[in-house]
Amino acid sequence: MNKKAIATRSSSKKGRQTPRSKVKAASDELKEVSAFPSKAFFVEMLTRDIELEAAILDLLDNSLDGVLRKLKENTKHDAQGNGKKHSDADNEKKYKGFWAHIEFNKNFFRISDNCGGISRDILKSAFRLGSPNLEQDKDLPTVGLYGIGMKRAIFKMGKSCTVTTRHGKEAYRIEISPEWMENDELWKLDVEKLDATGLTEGTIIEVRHLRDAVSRVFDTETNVAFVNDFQNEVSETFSYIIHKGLTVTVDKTSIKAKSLHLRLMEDPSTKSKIAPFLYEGKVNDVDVKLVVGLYRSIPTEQEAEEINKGEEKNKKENAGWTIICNDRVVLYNDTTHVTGWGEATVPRYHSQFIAIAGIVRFDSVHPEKLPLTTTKRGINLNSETYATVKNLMREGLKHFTNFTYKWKSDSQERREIYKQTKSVEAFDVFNHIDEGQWTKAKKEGGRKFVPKLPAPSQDSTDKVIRFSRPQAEIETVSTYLFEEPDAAPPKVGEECFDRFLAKAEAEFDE
Amino acid sequence: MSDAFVPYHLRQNKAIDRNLFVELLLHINRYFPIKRYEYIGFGGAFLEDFKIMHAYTGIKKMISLEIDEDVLPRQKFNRPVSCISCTHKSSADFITEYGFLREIILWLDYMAPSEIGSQLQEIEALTSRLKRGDLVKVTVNANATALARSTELEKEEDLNQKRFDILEKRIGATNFPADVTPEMMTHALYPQVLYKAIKLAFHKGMEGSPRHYFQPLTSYVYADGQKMLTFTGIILALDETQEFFKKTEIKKWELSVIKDDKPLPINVPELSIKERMLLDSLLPKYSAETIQKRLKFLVGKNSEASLEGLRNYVRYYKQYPYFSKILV
Repeated sequence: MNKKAIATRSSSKKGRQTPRSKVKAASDELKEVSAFPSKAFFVEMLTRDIELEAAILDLLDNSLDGVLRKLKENTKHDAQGNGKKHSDADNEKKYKGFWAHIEFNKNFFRISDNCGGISRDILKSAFRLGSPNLEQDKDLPTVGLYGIGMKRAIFKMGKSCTVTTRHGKEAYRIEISPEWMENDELWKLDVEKLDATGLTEGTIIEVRHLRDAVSRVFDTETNVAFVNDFQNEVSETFSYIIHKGLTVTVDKTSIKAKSLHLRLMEDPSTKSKIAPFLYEGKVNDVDVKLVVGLYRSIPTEQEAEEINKGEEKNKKENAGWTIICNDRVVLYNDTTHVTGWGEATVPRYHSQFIAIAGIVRFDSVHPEKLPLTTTKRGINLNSETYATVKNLMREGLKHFTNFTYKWKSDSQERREIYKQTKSVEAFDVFNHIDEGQWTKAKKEGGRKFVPKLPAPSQDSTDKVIRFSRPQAEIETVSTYLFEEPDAAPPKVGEECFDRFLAKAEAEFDE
Repeated sequence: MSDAFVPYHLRQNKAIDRNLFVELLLHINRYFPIKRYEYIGFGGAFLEDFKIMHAYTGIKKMISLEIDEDVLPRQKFNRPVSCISCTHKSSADFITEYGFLREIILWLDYMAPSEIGSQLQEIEALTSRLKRGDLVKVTVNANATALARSTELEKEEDLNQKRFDILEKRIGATNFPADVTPEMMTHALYPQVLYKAIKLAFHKGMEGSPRHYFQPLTSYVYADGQKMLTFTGIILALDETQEFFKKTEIKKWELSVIKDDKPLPINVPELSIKERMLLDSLLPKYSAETIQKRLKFLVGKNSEASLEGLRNYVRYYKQYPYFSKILV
């Protein structure tokens, strides 16, 4: 196989030299020079700065854009028919019934979906490097901007590819061969018309002749690390969309959405209560919804210490900011300056803030106005929209870092307050706030809800007891108290104290 | 760490697991000469594994890691052969500091179920330092009840979900196998969850070595009290898999993990010497079903358990040790 690959490469080298040598030979009468691009250049340049995982996620993005186009078509039909409008509830589950399956091994990569397929119009230019009609998805909240994702993903993975698609009653197959990939003279691809009956309305992209490095990480026989990382990445990036009904499988495993829940006081009538800070409004044509609050209890000092001892990436659980642009999660649980930590009086992230999480949603039918980087997997910090929203993010964050400071020491009161809260889906919180509790956001436009967070009562006299003992001795006491040697040391200490307290109180009462 | 003081004759399933390990090494010996290897393990007070390893493989360079200062002098006293160096060091420090110049066999015999997170990180860190031919065996506690018991549940809490959440917290999201679901957090299936997590840690450790990979070889679940999972594998070059299996015949060995990609149970019933002599005289000719018919009694609490126990005995009778009392 190696021999063959070398042979192809050397022959293509010759091919590439031909135009240049022609120019040289005819240099006396130089009338024109070639200005067509070299495929090798595109392949190298496009694929260099994108990670394999991100390139594959681009293909999933394309599937989703297909869903949006299909839903738009359906709305048009409905509008012509009975004029039925799609409600919010429809929107909440708008990807329901749609699926995308991703499979790979050392020989091939395949993504198949039932997301509507590629229409004849779009197909005409879908294989060009860079889309000539960026306006085609006007009024759709996509994230596609440059018409490059599919090609980039294919080039990143391998040297040949088959794209099969059915849209409505039409079905086509287009094949890219290794020869086409290397020949600078060939700029057209043959389209084969297929019988659409029996085909799912959707697209199948299959890449073969995988690059060596890609084939190695795709080989699930010898490497489960890549597939596991990728499954995690899909679960993060598409968690909001999976939540909204899309089914994604990777290597036959159905991907679960990460939880997006925050805590809210069960009894809404209490004056001061644990509830998230909320904002909603329109900033530069982008709809923004922001929510930040607590998703778990504030850690005890002991717990915070233990978290700190652990590995860096495990120190956060679900703490930090998650940013969603047109349903895609572009930043997940971020605790850096990118999301306002350690800036303008907000403290830097530390394990004692592990209970704080926030989510911001940016939605727009003008994808270019979203605060996205070109790879779509990060925040463009120069975006004015983002700068405005970041002020609100810091404002909200500050309420909860202050709250954490105030309740720093573990107390009965703190535990009680937490017990009165319930877990609510992050964006569902908006429905739990009465109209009168909102205030106007003067500077940014829109409105916000600022929770009155409870403060510890002044007369809390709790004190911390700390001491250390040899492990063997703790094990002995643990076995005595719990019939097992490995109860957590704080638990052993507390149990000792509680038992003696009960005993002491009983004796004093007599 | 109390386990370090329990001798093998009280833990027959563990003894079978250890004998299977020796048998695996004899298979590997047909491809990599094991005699040249270095053996590193947690010897405990009695260093029993070291004695057997030396006797069967002829390995001369051996290191025992002991974290407990009080056990160390006893371990030194019990040193069965002179080529064992008893070292007061944690496995984590050892992995960071050691040179790994020769081929090694390293047995990480972990105990504490609550430390599964750092154990997996240690496996990953170790693997990233290893080279072709190196062999690692890992033992971890595989009791799902160590995560949460049904008696500890608060109202509306689901036992499997709670175990799942605790395990995910302990392991951390990035090292957690993505295809594990809460439904798998049962007493019976939990060893498979850990199997996946350990395999993932091994593979993550190999990410910096594109020409090599980690090949799982054997994995067993046994309980002489606490349920334990063992997992053994080797680092191979990507292009030598076929040759390795051809020479070692491990793929054909019915006690390897290659075919099923999940741990095999070791659950041999307690048998008297008289019973065993009868069973052994019928093996390997007869099946567990036939043997059950020949016996006029059950060796388990009902006929199903008895048959299952006999099946297990048929599978492992060659590795099942004879223990007897002696007076010195």
